[in-house]
Amino acid sequence: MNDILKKVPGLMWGSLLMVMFFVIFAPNYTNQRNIINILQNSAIIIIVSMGMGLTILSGQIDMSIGGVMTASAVISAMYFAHIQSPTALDILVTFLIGIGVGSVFGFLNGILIARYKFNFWLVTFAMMSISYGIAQVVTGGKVISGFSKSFRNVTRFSLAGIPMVVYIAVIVSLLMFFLTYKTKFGMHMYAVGASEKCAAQSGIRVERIRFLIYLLSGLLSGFGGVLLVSKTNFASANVASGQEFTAMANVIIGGISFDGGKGGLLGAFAGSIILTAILNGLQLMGLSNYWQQVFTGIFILLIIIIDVISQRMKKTKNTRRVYKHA
Amino acid sequence: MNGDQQATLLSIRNVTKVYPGVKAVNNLSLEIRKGEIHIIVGENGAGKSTLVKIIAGLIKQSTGDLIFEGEKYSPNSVLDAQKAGINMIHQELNLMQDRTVAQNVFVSREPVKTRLRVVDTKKMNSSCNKILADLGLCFDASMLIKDLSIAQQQMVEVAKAVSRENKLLIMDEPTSSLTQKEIDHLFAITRLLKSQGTSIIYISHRMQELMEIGDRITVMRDGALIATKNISEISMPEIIKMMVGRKIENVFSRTETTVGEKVLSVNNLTGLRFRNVNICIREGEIVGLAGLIGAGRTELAKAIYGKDPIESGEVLFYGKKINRRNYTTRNAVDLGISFIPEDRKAEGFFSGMSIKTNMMEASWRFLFRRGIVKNSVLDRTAEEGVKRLNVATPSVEKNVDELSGGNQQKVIISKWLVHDSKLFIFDEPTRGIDVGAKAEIYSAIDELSKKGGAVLMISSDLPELLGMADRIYVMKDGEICGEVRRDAPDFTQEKVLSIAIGESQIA
Repeated sequence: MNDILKKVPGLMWGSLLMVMFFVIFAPNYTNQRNIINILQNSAIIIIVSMGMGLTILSGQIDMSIGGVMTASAVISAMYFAHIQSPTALDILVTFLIGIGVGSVFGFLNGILIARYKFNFWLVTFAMMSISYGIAQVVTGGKVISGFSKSFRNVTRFSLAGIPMVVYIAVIVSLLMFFLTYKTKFGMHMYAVGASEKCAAQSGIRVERIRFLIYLLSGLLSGFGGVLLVSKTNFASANVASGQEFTAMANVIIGGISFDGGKGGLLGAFAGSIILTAILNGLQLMGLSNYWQQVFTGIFILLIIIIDVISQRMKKTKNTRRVYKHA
Repeated sequence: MNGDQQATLLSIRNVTKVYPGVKAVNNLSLEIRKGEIHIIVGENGAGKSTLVKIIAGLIKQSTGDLIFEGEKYSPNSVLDAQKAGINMIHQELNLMQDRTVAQNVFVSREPVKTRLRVVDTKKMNSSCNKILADLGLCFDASMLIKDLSIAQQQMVEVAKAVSRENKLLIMDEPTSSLTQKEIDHLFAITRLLKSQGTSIIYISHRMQELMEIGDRITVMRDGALIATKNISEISMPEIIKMMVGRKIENVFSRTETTVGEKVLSVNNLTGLRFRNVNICIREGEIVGLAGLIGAGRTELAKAIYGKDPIESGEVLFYGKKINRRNYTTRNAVDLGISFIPEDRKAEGFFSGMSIKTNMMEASWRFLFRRGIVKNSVLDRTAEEGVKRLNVATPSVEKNVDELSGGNQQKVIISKWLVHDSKLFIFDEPTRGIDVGAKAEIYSAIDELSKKGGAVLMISSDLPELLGMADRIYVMKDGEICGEVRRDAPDFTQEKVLSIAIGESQIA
């Protein structure tokens, strides 16, 4: 546990200060309903940020996350909308379809990037375009809505006052923490992210690790897509547009570095909640949605600046160290 | 000490590794015996590293076979080599800075405790601590690599290799960043491994070390094996003689020049990898900078060029001190200092652009002061540049990528001629260039000095330095350890190399 706590970056304390600001100044911010609201709103983005966090930890990025979510959402929604009186089995199949759609995209990303060594930016950008496009084609620009209560309850049913989607997010996160902090796969993922050359020279099968990371990222996005349908009760070709950027923001706020191998998924988890909480606070203080976007951008810039400055300071320190041993 | 000592562990048979334009290893055959410490020495670029990389599964030989424990051995990856029991400690550090010591030592072999492949961190740390204790190291397995000193990090590399099952352990200059105490540790470990029957291939430039620890020694030169001898039967001067016996091609065209004003003088300069350097270069002079890899030559040159930071000391250009605060590359270029880097493709020119553009690159601001480019001026200047150094090209519009290495180098040099530079710093000017083009580059460099340019030439090719330079400074471990002059009687490869290795008393 101590090991995990060490990975909580300094950046996040600043973010917590922001949250404290809202606690004091935003009306009803600490209201129980609002807190549940924040948790509920961050739940799905937590799940997809796990996937984004994985790819960034491995030193690359998956830009197709929002598109894959959308494709998964509309395809599973189309399937479910056709069923007259859905049973529990139908709901399960719908979820499996959503997860399956995500996995297919993840599989393609993984094969192209890990096996054939194509550039990860280009591949995932292409996949982003393809998946958004497929969503447009499938829906024909229409909105699919009005799902059965049982389907909506997968995310909305309230247990001890907290909606199911929050429990789901926590369970997925715990599984991902376990995977990355405790297992051999996790160790190898860090190794690949920290230094691909070193990992390869140590006998780690880099290709396989990279493939699994993209597969997992796609799978989580697919899952997030279906959950989104259940939670919002509608699906359209832009139901999750821009989520890749939100996920990226969460991961950065959580202190996972673009250098790869630095930080941890706990950061992605905390970052997701913090960004949601900050946006929620701005909303309560009466700021419009448009301003929220501006604010998110400024917030990320600030974090990057702090990060760069601290890196530079470290670098000068290291230079001296090298010299002393020369 | 028994009959086993003589048994062969690995035999290398007629191995050749060809890179475009050069045979890095040339038809080499060598036997490594069980439980011996086998030293390999040779100048920079003699092919030592290529050879051991083939053994360690990092690269594949072009032709030839390896026989390991009586069976054919052809590793496709490091993993294959490790499975066979062959490990390598690399010259450069190869560690994950943000992970713990234990995570680095056990990377890819983490102990797991359940079927879910959960890593047993406790077990990993305790067995890592045991290894560290065996090595006599006093840091903890749970520390992060980035919190260790460079020497400690080097020892982590050692721990990493030692912790595996070793039949053959390759050490490629493991002591370059260690202190004497740590070297002693390492030697103790090496002897322990040897007594357990592990064979060791040890590459080093430090002659004292070799004598202390080696059983047999192999000298390599230009990718070929020169000799393999028992350490007890050979002396250091003999080794050095074998190392430097490189054939001198008669391609140098150094003409007498009149030495003029002092262009550059460096006083007590200390920086990233060098200390207290004092050198000076005059107009019309070619000054060589010799030394082994890691001696700090390139770092010194880059500091003079304003690219690397300077800690203390001063640089005078035509007697005028360069203010440390505005010591930037741009200022250095403006003054007339030019740098022709070793890695042409990455640093020397703009790949994919025309000769013309490349030639103008340093001079835009001077040729077009109002910021408006005139094609006629461009063409004229580029044509002149091409003619001056005799670049073989039909047109200045040609893409530099399509030129030969020698012609590319000439384009880079003319770029600085166009710019009217005074001091030219060459970092390995002829690496990867064929003999014919080399001759042209030599005459180009000679031409520079005849016209009053000052040249500082870094090279690992000793015949080249001796053929071109008027004086040679020799660097070792970041310091200038000696200077040899052309008019001195001992202006020889042996002299330079023995200073670079630190054995000046024997030459």
